[in-house]
Amino acid sequence: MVNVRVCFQKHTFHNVIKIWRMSLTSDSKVPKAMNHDVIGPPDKISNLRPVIVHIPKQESSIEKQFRLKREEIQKWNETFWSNHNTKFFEQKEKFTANHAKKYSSESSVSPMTSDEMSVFYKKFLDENWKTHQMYNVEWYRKNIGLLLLALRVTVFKVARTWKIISKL
Amino acid sequence: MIHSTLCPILWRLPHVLPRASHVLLLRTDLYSTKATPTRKPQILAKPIDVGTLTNEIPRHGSQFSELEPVSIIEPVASTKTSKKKKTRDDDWREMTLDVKKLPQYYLMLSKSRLTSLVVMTSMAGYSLAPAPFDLSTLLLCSVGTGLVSCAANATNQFFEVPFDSQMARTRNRVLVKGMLTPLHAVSFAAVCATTGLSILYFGINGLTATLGATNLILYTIVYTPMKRFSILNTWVGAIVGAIPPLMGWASCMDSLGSGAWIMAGILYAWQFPHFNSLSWNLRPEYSRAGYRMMSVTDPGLCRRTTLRYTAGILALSCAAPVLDVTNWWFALESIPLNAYFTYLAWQFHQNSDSGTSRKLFRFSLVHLPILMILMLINKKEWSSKKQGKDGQDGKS
Repeated sequence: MVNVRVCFQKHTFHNVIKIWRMSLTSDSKVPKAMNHDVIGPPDKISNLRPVIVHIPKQESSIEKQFRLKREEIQKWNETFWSNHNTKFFEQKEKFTANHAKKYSSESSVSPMTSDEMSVFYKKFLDENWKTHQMYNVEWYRKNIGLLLLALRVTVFKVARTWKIISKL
Repeated sequence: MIHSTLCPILWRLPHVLPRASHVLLLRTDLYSTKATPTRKPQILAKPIDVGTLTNEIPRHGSQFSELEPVSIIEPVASTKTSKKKKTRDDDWREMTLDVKKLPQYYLMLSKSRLTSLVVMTSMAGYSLAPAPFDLSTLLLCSVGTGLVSCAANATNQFFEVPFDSQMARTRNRVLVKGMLTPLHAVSFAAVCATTGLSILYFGINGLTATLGATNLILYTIVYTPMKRFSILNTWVGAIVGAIPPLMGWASCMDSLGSGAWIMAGILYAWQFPHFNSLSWNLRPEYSRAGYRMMSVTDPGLCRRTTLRYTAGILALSCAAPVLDVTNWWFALESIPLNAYFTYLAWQFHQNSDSGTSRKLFRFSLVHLPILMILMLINKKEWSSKKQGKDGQDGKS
């Protein structure tokens, strides 16, 4: 869990910039008139869809808390998966390169069979077991926390609307 | 064998140097256009050995997903509609709720095909029970089981968003695409679970409701996280698959008899050839997303259990008449079906590749409904039930 947190802090800034740049460079445009949250196409590395959370004009403290929490969790997820996926493809390339070297020295080049590749898949999964455990526990905690916060925001909004209606 | 124009393609694959005995296999896109309408058709290159040419041509799966597209070609008839569709998925989109599409979202959230399979197995469990047929009980049981299954699937998707985002198979789920909020999905699940379990408890009996609640917890709280913790997840998943026919039987009898256990046993065993063959082609994605599936962590065990459990189905089908669940015709009729299933599992065991695994997976989808139907046709109690009914009529 410590590892995950450290790597989150390291990459926070990087990710803010990244999301901002993505909204600029992406082929598709971010809708300008934002009255709602907007969701983008999946990131090419992390595979996660970026969300730009809408800031309402008169934001109450609980709404702000919810918005900040969402942004924080999004960045945390983005960092984890972009690191993880980069690692996967780097190690996979290394593995196939090693394989090619080994066989080219024997002067008989053979393509990677799926059985040989599965050695890598197992290795990668086993090596990252602990990372995934930590990520999973942390994700469950964050996800459920966010759900409860969303529930509180909804209750708050309903109460606010009710007040306005009863005044009329 | 290598055509000169294809040579540049070969150099793109870093681990392969061109050699005369290698042929380059070219294929176009591998995803169904329905599931991923925005994908551009791609030519995918795979170097293959001449010796393995037969049966090594995957049609839809991992071997190609590992490869780099060598070129991206626009569709020949790039009509306006396809362009429209493309921009829709690649665009930034306001996260507003499209109320018109709500029924469709709910169906997706409930994994409607999986839910209908669950409902069918519970109906089969109900029909197999040796008691007079009662339409209202059957309907209550189906609706209740279906709603509990919807709740389980919606909760599962709530927990899995970042993981689902990683895999092509699950990338288009409603929560991943932000069509519904997580709170909306969980509320849907809560309503389904409450209604479903109430129908089972008040409309049928406590045993069925308990089985339903157990399965809901087993699936959402045990199985879902376990996929990333332990190889045992397939066994837990198999138990989850085996409980619906027990619920059907329990809603008819208010107890569990040998017929219920036979059917649950068949469903338990069926999960292994079904799921192992499916997961075989998803190994790269499972590895990256952190799923500890048997096909990745222990491929040998994956092959062996597949074969073992298909043989188990054969044995269980023959045991059905011994335990007075069906007549002897069932054993006779099911032998060819189960023998072919076992034969496909044997082929998968001997030579596990995308071809054999896909064949096995496809047949598993046909195998289960046929076996259930055979079982119902040859039910032992059809005749005695009629007599029982007559007897009752006579008394009244």
